[in-house]
Amino acid sequence: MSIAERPSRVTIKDVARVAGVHFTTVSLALRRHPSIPTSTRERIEEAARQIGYTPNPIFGALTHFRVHGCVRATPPRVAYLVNRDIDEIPHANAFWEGAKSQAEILGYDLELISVREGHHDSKSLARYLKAQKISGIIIACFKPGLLELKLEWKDYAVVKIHSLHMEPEATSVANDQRQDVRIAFREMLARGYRRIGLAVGEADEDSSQYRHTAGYLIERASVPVTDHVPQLLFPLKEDPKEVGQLLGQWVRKHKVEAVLCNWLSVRELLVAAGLRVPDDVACACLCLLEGTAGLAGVFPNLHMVGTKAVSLLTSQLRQGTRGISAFASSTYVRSRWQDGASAPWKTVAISR
Amino acid sequence: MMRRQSSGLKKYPTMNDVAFAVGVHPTTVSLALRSHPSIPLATRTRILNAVREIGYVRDPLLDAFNYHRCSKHASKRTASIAFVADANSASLFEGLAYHPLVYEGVRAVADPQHLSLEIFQIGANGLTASRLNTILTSRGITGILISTFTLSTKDIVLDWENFSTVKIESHHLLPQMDVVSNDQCQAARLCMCKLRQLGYRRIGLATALDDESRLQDNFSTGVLVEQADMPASERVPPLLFERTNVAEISARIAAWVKENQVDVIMTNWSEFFREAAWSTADGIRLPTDPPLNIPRDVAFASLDAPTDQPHIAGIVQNHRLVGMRAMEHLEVLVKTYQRGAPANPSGTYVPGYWRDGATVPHKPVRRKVRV
Repeated sequence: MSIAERPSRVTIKDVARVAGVHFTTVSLALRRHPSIPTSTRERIEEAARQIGYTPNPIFGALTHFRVHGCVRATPPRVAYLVNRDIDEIPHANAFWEGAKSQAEILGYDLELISVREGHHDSKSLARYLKAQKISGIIIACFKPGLLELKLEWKDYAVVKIHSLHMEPEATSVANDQRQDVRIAFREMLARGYRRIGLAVGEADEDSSQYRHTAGYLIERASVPVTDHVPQLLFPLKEDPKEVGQLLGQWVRKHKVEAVLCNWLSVRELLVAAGLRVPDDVACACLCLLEGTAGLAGVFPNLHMVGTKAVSLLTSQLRQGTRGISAFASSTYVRSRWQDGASAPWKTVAISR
Repeated sequence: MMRRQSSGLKKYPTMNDVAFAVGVHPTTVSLALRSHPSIPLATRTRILNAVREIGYVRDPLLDAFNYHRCSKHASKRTASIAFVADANSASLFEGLAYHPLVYEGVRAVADPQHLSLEIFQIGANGLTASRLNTILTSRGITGILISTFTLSTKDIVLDWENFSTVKIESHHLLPQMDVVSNDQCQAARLCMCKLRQLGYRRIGLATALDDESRLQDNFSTGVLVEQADMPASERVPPLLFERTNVAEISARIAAWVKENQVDVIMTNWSEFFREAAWSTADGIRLPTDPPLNIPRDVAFASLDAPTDQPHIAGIVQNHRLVGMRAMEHLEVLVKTYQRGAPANPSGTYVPGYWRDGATVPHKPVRRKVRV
């Protein structure tokens, strides 16, 4: 059999001939290089599909070896953006820990970058990302009301942890706050509490698209109207002293028997407002952390939220997905209930 | 060409490093990572812990090389991902219905990664769960996609700790795993917003009780969130019906529409449209007592608008994207050796989009007549 007769593999040169472009254009287009217009790319992709071209992994490996002298690529870098000092915030830190360890497992180099006064602003961040060839970013738990972030979103693969109040519409991950409220509500009901109230920060609700409220509304719909308590929203600028006062007034005014709150200091705030816990009012925290003893509530797996964020981002990066998705998915990680002295079973009260 | 300094290269952990740390042979590590049944669970756990500690990951380039090498031997090709469905849902595989779209999405992600897929239908051709377990184990399949199961299947018994699993839709199916599904809550919210834009004010949700429990009250939650911002006079109480027969359900819907002056029915239930033909001039007549005409008496918006019936307005669900997200999710679990049921399962929700249709005509805003 002569060389001419041998059935040959389909190469990018064949694709180039069909599409009527140079083969380097094909190569760039199939890697979704921004220099190739979308219409051209689609035409080339269609041609590749038609004649059945698939990249040869061996050549890929070989080329890499030739260029880099090793068969293993240096780990691609991805950015983890925050707009606060996360060392001070245990929740934010837990997300970061989870993300970091998953990035290591998946072979990515995750870099923590601050976007705030005295650090990066949007402009300098864009320059930095470009210079470092970083195209994957995680917008981690941005607090509303601080510095805004504006990037050319079409250049990046983006995953958000919470941060739903801001641009862009991207894949998001969070702990399942709706389910958390539902679990807490039911546990409180089971313990004999009747007037159960939800008290959360407006900032938290804004950045989660009112997930706490949604869970509260659906659970409240299953109890008699006489037991309905209007929910309390802490103002955007949260001052612990003011929040404590608001909480105290609200509990007294609406005769709340059990408070569901996402603040770790909920019990201290109630006590400071002159209420005895659990004698006057019971409480459950909606976002417990490791080492909080005596407080009943919901224990989220924030570590897992960070893990999922990195997993989702790497899926996008591998598939070459960039920019804003018309149908961004949301992932919510379930939490578990933890008993505590702040919400004892109410059997004594009933027998009295 | 300049040679790179070897000290400049980052040292990547290999299987040998794992083997050395645990004190087993490298081939044992290899088998354990593929969840081979010949390796005891205790040993595998020990090895997986070491893998995590050392940070060993499969080399994608070597993987690619291996794939290429193995693909020369046709007989050696085996499925690496199982797509498990219910025999009861076999009808869903036909036509434009739900499964083919999901499956297409799954393929769109799996194919470029050189992951092969095989469909298994529990209950068909005598395939029991335990038989499936044997097949998966002996073929070395470690990734399972559980497709939508009907409510009659409560749980499946497999040796879950050997597999990475992602469920599609079936929240009710035990054990609890990571689930990917359509965003029903968003569907209800988006649908209500669109209907209000189109001039409707008495929007009523009608859905089956068991659907709501299967989907974690997602429709009702969406409705409650939207109603919270609406005047009390426009809040229609949802109708949750038992799934009996079309006639009985139609009667309940008719009574509820009348009692609450519903101007548009919002539902995921479109059996009406299978029973009677749609006519462009006259719409459709519901078999209710008194008969209701859509859209003359009441408009109709579907929360899962069928692609083959373009006259039905409502939310179109992105089944293909659901398949894609599920496969992406599973791929990461397989690759990072996360087997078994997770302590904190997650739910991933894919939003749908609005589609106009003849069942929801634009409604001119009525001026309130004051007496």
